[in-house]
Amino acid sequence: MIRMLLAAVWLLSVGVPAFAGRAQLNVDVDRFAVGQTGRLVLSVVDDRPHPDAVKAVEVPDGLVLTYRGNKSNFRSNGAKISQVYSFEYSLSAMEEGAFTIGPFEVPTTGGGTLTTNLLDVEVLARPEVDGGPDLQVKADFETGEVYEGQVVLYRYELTARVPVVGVQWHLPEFDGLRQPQHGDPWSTNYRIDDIDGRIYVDRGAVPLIAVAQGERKQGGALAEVRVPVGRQNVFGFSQHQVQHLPTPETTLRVKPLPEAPDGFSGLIGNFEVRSTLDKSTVGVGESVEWTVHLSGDGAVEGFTLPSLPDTDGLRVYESEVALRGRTDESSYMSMLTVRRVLVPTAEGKLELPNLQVVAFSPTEHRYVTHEIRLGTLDVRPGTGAGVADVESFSTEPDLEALPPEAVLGPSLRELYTWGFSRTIQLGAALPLLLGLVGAPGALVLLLEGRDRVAKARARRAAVEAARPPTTAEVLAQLPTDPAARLAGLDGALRLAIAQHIGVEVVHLDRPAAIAGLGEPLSGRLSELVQALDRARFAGQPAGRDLEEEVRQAIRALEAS
Amino acid sequence: MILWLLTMWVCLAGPVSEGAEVMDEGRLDDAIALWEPVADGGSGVLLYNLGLAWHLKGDAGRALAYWRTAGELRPRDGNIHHNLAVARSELEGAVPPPVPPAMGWMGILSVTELGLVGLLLTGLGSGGALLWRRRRSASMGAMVLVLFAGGLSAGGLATAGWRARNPVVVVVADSAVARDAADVRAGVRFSFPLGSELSELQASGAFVLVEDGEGRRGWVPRTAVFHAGG
Repeated sequence: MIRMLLAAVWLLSVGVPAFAGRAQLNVDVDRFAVGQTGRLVLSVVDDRPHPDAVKAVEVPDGLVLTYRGNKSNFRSNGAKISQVYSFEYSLSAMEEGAFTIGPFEVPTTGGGTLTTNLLDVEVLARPEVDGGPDLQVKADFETGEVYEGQVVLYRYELTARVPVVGVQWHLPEFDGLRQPQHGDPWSTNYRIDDIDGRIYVDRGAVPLIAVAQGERKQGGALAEVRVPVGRQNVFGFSQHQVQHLPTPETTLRVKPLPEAPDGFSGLIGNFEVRSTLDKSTVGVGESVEWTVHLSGDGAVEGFTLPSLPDTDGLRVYESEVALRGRTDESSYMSMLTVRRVLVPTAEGKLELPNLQVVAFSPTEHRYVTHEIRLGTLDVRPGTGAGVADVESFSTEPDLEALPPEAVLGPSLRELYTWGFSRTIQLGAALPLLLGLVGAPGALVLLLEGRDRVAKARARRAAVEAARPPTTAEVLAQLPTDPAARLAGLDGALRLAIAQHIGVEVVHLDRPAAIAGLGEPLSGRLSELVQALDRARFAGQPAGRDLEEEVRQAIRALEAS
Repeated sequence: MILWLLTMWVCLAGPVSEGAEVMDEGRLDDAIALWEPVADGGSGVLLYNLGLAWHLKGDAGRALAYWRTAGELRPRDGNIHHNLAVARSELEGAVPPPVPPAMGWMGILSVTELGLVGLLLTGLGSGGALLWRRRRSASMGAMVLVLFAGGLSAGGLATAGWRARNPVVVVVADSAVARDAADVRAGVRFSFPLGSELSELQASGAFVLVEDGEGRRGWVPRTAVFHAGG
């Protein structure tokens, strides 16, 4: 196990130099006003910078550089993971002028050095205080007139003098324009420290191909931003208000192309073509890699490099076609790489035919022919393998060796030779069917529910009936017969005393309970009870309104 | 056994097998003529075969339309998904992403299948309720309620799916110009290339309002799009 680990560490340490490191200088913004500060970053990719690398960056007079810190992270492009070390600086503009920063030699821990790129920075005079709005947006095409098929950039920008978060751009539905298949839109955001307050910038560019002629009116773009309002709370958070900032409509004029010459490739833009052979001397039956790089500011989708004319003593195999696109703030660039393998089959000097690619140049307003010259191959006797043994030099499969269905691409699945030609579709009838099927069950559940409700009601009524009456109920239901009415009043008073001391009526010891109530209530109640007893059992007239006194005594008991 | 034999006879003697024989002989138009009259309300198998016939005729738009509709009826049929993927990969131009099914479950179950599940569960719940009325068991009562609720939920979901679905139309012209309104004088918004799978939201005269997989809407001529029956 330890041996395996050591071997892995050794392999990693040996393998690292295989990735050539590089150093890169970047600035967030290359156009400042005097008094503004932006960010400059020195990045070292696939190598480890020496601690002294931080001192490698120097700026000319008129600019001031302040080291802010460093960090490292990993970056993946899908095929490879790279470690990136970054040194961050603040770059402040002190004087007007055009400045060049770099190139610099960046020392690495391995003892070597890496060379950075150059940066051009322009410092402008400080503008007058404009007093304009805190939030400004703009969006427009880089030019107002293009040819059909030409790629044009649509650029948008938000400048904020208040802190903004969550900037979202809603671009218009472009009329007569579409994005190329290769090359994603570009966007960035950064801030500039300015003496009048920090400036936040969010901007981007979308490459678009003009696919329809005429005056193409485009709707405006819409920036959605969240702007803090009010003061921060104790936790440092602010309330935000969403603001929508529209840009004006724009117009793009799309001109038709002039009449195309024979052999027009369909490429529209300014292109460069490079062609290379990996060797000029080769044995019979051996392979030569022929690479064509085509790059330019137009779209290359749909373009196919013409085939080489049939040439005696030469076989040509397709190897690889790679298409890429890239967008930045000021340009769109597409790149096409075509690799073909040439296999000479006879000795001698082999004159390779030339190819022509006709493209339309929008800047020159004419068709331009790009000549691809392959030159001459010196073909010597082979190593003995012979042409007959050459099966394929291509990464593509040998089409002749494959069955026809493989050559035609992924085949379709077979036909169904039997099955129903019609099927029942329940969709529209489903509610009715569900009703029919569910009705008996629903009825049963309904009846069951009704029974349960009735039972619950009966149970509640029984409980209600078993409950002793309250004093208010007793007083409300006093009989009219004088003797029975007096008995009812006595019962209500008993009940009130029992409820007052918290015992059941049957367990009430009335004299003791009244004595325990305290004066003056106990005296008043004793006297009232005696008067009631005299009226009920001795037949002595009360000589006063006993019913009213009982009611008052009960109210007094309830209130005490 | 008799029922099985009867089913097999209906399957083997029906238009599907007849058309398959015709198509095997290379008579694509005859096979299409046999199948298309029954396509509206037809089975997934028949619609799949129609897609294949149109693909072999070189009409990618109609093939996609038939396979999309077949996919709604047979959402777990690997052949349909395979052929759809092949046909989509052969399209040229910036074809928008296909409109997804109206509801997520439609990628696994068809409306009819989910409806049948709902009917089955509701039926079981209904029958169980009748039994429970006689036997009175607490656990049976709970089961009846679960079956009933599950059945009605599945049935309700299937009904909602049926109502929410919009017909899928596919662009069969070289491109379909999408306009602001159902009128040839209306402003042009953009174009849908051949093979764009769109959802038909509304129809008005010679135009239909469609929406693509990115949510873009526009009125396109009815003649530029095709809707397979089903």
